[in-house]
Amino acid sequence: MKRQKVITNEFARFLRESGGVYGALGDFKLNHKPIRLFYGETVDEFGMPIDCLKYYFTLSNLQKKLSAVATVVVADTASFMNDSTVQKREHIRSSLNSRIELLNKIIAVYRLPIKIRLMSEQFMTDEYKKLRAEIAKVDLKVIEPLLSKTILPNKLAEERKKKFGYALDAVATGLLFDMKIGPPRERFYDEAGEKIMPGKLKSIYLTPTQPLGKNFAFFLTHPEIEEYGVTPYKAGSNKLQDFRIILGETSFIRAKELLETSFESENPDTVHPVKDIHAITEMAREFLGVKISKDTLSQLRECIYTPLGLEGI
Amino acid sequence: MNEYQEKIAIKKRLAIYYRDQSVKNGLTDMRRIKAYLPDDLMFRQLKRDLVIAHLDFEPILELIADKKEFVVVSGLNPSSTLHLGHQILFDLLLSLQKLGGRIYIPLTNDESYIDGKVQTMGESKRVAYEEILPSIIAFGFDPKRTHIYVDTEYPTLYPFAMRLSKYVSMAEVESLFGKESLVTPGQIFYRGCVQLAEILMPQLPEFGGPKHTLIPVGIDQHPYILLARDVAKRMGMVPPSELVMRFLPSLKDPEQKMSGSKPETAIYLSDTSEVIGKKIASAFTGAVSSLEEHRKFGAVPEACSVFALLSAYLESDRELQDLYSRYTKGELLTKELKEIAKRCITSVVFSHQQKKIAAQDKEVYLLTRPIQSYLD
Repeated sequence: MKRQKVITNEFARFLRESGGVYGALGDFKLNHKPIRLFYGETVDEFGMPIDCLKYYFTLSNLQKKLSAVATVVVADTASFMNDSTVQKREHIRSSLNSRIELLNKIIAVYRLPIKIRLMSEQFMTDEYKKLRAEIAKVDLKVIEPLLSKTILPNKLAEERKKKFGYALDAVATGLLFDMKIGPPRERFYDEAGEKIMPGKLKSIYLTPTQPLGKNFAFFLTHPEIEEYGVTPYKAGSNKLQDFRIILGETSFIRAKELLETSFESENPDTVHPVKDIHAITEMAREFLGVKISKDTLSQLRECIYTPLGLEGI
Repeated sequence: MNEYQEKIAIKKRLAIYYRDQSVKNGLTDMRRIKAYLPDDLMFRQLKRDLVIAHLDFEPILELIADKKEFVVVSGLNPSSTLHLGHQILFDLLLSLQKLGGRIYIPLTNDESYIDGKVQTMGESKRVAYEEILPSIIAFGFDPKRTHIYVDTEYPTLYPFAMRLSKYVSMAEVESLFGKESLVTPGQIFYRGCVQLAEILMPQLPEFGGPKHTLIPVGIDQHPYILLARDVAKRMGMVPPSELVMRFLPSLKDPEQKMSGSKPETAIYLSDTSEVIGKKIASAFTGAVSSLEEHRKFGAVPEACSVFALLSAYLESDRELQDLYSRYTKGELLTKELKEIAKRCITSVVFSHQQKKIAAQDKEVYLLTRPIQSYLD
């Protein structure tokens, strides 16, 4: 993805200085307060990847900077939508409960100024219903090319039959807010939103999340992952759950092994999976108020595993 | 100043030529791969930009990363003594062998004959066995993972090529190679079928079946690979990958390639140190003739046939970088550069000549296993 070079004001400088920001979309003149800021995530049966922390921390930093209302929207209904088997649904339901429990714990441990909202609750609001009805009237042909890029090729025909309901829910959710934070691939939802309601949503994309424990050849043979990364909040994205640090699932020893066997390079034109984890541990350290910075592994233990009580895994 | 501008113009033309060549007809330049490749796997030909483009090289890199074997096929037209331009290719093959490559080298004496580069088949066969084979052995290939054959002496190559003719249409061959290189029936059969047989043979059941194969080529050979990839798909084989090499420039003109049929453009691996010295002394350089202007403007290494020799053969990266910097600033004189090049190239050639004399056990390199499949 080409970094968007949009913004020139003070806020833009703040974004640029926040190491994990990868790109942005929209006009960043923010005229009213409070700004409604959000990050949305779905859940799978494998648990919460460490990469979610990057989004929670960045959301919290932005909340402080903008005096915004910051919300994590947990897409509970969307999490079930694409998985039909009863057993899998049960797994996801259980995962969803665990995710919310862990998210509450993270908010408490790091004192994050963010609130949680379930998508199912959102769907019940009049504001959402009205907006969704408006979006349903939009000529699909206009936004289909963008929405198609958010769907796996083998599921495209099925989604067409469903008139892209899942993707349009995601677009509508975005348009309920003023600003969102998301992974780079979500720009396609946001560009569709921009076509429907020009100028409504501002989006900030964080660096793509890359799997750990993979060598250089993996990224050369998976250009799509190199460009957009895996889905940060779904551990099973691209079936790479064994190559992610999953909070509460991955032991510290395994996390260490993943970091030590990961591709990492000084070249700025490559992916940086280890530096990305380091950035997450740095943010965790700052939120805990620990002054002295250490190496990635020490910070992973001291600022994430220990405070969240994950050491015994 | 005009002379200097002309050198700059050559540099620009070459940059544009290679930039354009490296991204056309499905090729990709090497920037992404160079960014990702770890230092311990970075081979000199890639580091020095002697390899300029690739097609589907990533699966080969995956095998290299997993320390698994892959196949490399690279033919050679045995019409004259080898020169430094050939050695670049063999150096690349050696680098690839160190990374896990099993090397197949067809000596295409049939091609030499049909293109009129030799007068008789016997002559091309003699050059292949007496000149080329000992030279290849002298490069130091591992005999267990190197398989050389002379086309006309490998009896089941042609029946396999004949079989392949069923998978190719005349229209395809014409569109890829152009009618001008398909004048005789021999040229049509060679370009449309025999070269395909050389490329695809390692994927036959007797050689272990379908597998990833890498073909290093000059830019003018790209059409062969496109045809081979199409035919491989039709036959249920793995489409071969390709590395495209920069040509080593003529000693007389950096925009032309070193050619074995034009002795003044090339340094042969059989040349004496005296001949090498004379050829380098009269080579085209990237420096202007006035010493004062050279000191003022500096030289243009990218437009220098002598610097190209050092880029290809000087061992030390640091020394090369230092020479580049000093030559560009006008601190290093052409005479000094030529002296360094003479020492470097004489050493490379002399070392090769010694090893060639000592080359033994030619038979262990020769491929004799007959092709049975696809012939019934």
